[in-house]
Amino acid sequence: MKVSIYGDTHYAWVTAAKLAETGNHVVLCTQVGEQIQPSMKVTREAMLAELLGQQQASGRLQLTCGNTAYLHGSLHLLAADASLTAVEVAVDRILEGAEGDTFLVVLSALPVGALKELQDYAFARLRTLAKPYRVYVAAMPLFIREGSALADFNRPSLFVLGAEHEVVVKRVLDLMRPFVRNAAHMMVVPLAAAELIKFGINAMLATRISFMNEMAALSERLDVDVELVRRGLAADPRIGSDYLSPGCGFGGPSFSDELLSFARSVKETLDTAGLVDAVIAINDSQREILFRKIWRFFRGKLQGRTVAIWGAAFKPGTASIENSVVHPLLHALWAQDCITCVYDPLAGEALREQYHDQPLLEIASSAADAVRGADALAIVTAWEEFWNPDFSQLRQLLKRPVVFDGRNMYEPKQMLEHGFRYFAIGRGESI
Amino acid sequence: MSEPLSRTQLPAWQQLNLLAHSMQNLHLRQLWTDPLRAERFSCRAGPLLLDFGKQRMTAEVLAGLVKLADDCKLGQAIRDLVGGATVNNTESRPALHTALRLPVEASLKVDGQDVVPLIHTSLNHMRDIVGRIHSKQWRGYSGKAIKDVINIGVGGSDLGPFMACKALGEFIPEQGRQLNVHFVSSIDGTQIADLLGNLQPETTLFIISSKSFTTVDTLSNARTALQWLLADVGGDAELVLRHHFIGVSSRADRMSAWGIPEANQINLWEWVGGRFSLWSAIGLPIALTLGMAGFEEMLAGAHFMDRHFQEAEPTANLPVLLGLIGVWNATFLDIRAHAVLPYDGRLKFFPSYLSQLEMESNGKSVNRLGHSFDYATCPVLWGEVGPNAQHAFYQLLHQGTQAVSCDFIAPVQRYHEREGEGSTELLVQHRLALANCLAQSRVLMLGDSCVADGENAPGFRRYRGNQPSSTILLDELTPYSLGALVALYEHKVYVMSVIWDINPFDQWGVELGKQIADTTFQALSDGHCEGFDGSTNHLLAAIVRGGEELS
Repeated sequence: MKVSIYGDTHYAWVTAAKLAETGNHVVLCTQVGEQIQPSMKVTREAMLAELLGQQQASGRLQLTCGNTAYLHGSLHLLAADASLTAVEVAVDRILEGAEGDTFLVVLSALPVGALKELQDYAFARLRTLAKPYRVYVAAMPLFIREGSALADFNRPSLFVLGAEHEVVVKRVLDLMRPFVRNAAHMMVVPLAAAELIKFGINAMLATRISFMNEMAALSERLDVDVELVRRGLAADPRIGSDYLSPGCGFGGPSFSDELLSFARSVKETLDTAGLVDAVIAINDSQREILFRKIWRFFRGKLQGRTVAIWGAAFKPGTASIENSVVHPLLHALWAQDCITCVYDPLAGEALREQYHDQPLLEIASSAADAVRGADALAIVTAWEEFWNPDFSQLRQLLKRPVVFDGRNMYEPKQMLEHGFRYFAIGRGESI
Repeated sequence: MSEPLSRTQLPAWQQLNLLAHSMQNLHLRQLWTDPLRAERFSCRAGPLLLDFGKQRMTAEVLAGLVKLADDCKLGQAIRDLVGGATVNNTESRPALHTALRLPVEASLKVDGQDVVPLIHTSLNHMRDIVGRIHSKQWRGYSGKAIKDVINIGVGGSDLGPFMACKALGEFIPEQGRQLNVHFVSSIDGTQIADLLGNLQPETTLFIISSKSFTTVDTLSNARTALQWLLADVGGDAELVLRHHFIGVSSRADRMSAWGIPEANQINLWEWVGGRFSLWSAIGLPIALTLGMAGFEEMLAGAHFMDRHFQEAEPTANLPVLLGLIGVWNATFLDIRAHAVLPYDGRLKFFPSYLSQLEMESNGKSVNRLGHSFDYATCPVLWGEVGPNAQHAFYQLLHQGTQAVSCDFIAPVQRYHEREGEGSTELLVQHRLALANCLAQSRVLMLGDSCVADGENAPGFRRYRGNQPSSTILLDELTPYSLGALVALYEHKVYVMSVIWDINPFDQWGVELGKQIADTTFQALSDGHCEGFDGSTNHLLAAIVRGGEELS
């Protein structure tokens, strides 16, 4: 099948690679313009770069900008990180080039209700252009996680298709057949329902995390280890253990823009501040919790101190620092003239690039290097290699044996035995 | 050298007295024989238009007032003011609020030292503080960002910043939207008790604003604030003071003694008068509300007025005209009350700000040499948002026995940039306010002659008219135009003081009461209710007895 994909996002690149891999002729248009200058770092997803290379070499995947994509075929996947207006601009171009019935499949998370608007817009455009064809809009929200996106694409736990015409349902299912057959659940629903499912899943997961963070704050005040509480909740089969770990806040692209967009929709549609607002507010505060603990430990005197930070990626397994908790922590420390030395197995370069003119930022090449001579260690991302560090070396390298753990990676008792002051989220010493 | 003539001996003064006498039976409506009167008696400077056609003023009177100003050496007095001469003779210092508005490239030497770099260093300190608070990087003791700022100050450390913050609420920049700025002034603790009940100590920052850092009202509120925080923290005063208190004062030593760390002190100078101090670091709440850029817009508007004041001819000089009109009304026409009536709810607190500026400056009865004089000076000044006052005290303006002069103030444009729901209705509301503004000043001037057959109404429906007023139109209310408006009144006050031969920069009248309050406080604390005058002894006893019965 001939497929055009638009966008320079994680979704766009992963989808392009996987669809090319299953034999389709894919044209990826990263941006409208004269030059191809993709900005997505494909290396942030393990094995993605390799897969893309293979598909390009096979000739099934082509990178272009503009016209080649519009004229490539009739199936257009919109995966840009863009507003509805920007999507409409792309739709204009696609319809201008259309030489038959056209299928617009939206992968991007647009505000609730935007798909219906887009459909009306596309109908109107086609009428204006006086073309004797039809245009179909469908929504195909992807539930792929950064770090395991290729595997998630192969075996989706849930495949949702939002569409209102048989023709487009058939067309998309044909395209996705190799993956849909592996899906644990498959649903074809109206457009608006697809939107709500996508946002709803995100919001529910975020709600669980913020709830657990609230439990952690309470545990800390009441001198209870939140880990016990977490295990208790997880043991209840109605609750389960996923997305139940307290921590220093969530981040990443879907947990920011999409959640905010959902909160706005709730506010505008129901004319009330919804639960999601509270979820976001708790998370905003949680994203500074490590800073607050550090601040209190040093009684607000951070000028000239050095804080080592382990992890910068918004979650382990990715090089992406998009909306990562590391940003508010760094900004807060820098504002106090505090030196920061960061180690991340994958995201160090991205951090260096983003803050190249920040004299208070050092990027270390190893976990041990980062902590050498630092006044404290803060853990932001739960990378595998941080689970069992050489504690005696860590103790020696730190100027003060104090650890602020935003991911609850260690046992407080054990840390005490190793001679550390240990502050985690809802466990360890409270401050 | 012979002693200079007293004001009343000046020929121009005597001439004006005669003119005032001859106009006694002349009604305002009879002055409109000159077809060019409206143009002749109006004057524009930047965003402000002053219309004084409705004053009991003739070309002859105006010429006489200009001559009087000349005889009083107003031109030299203006140069003295802005040049840093010792215009505050009883306290031997200059009054350099105009210097606070000078651009960074300017230079002004006072006692051999250029004060402009000092002023801009202080502005930069403010900029740094505002930046840290707006970027949510000024942290309270717990590490949370500051959400509420409480300005504790009274008089000049309260009225100006409060008025400006309330007036310019729609100019709050994005980064200032989540910050709440509050004001606490009253010694009885009402305001602070209300506020503290609703705020979180860990996210609240206090600005202690006091030029002398001895003002008992302010320090008593500050002590309450400190105790509130200490109770929350558990007693670590150094921590609390470092993260929750900023001091603004000319006395670094006293700020330090109170415990405010040096990094949180912003210095003022002796030559900034309290009621002229909103342009200095006392204006920190304004900068926190508007952002530094908005505050600097205000400074620029005021600086524009300073230049106009120095450069324009007396007959085209807004502050000079407004000041001369004020003297004419108060002294020569013997009008003892003056109402300030903004037709814009945003300027609600402008009249109370002006009541301090004018009455504390010119509410005096001795001249610069300390000699009593026998002419009326500053009138009683009060005011309210005009449309609301129409339902309150306008009755007295229209039909009472008092002669009252008025200043009507209104913006020409409002809501014009607003879009969406309700914008048309708001535009209509603004037009209604303007219509009322013009209608009221017209009826005050003409009385019932502005309607047909008005003279034949029964007595209780008659309107005498003949109440003089000026109208000041702002193109629109912005930080710049408000800056210009405030500076206009500051200079108006100075012009009047020069004509009256008053030192407008001291306020000895407020001292004795403070002193007596100290001994009275002692008496109340000890329960000794004797040794005062009969009335005070009696009241003290009633209070002490009341306290005992309740306890």
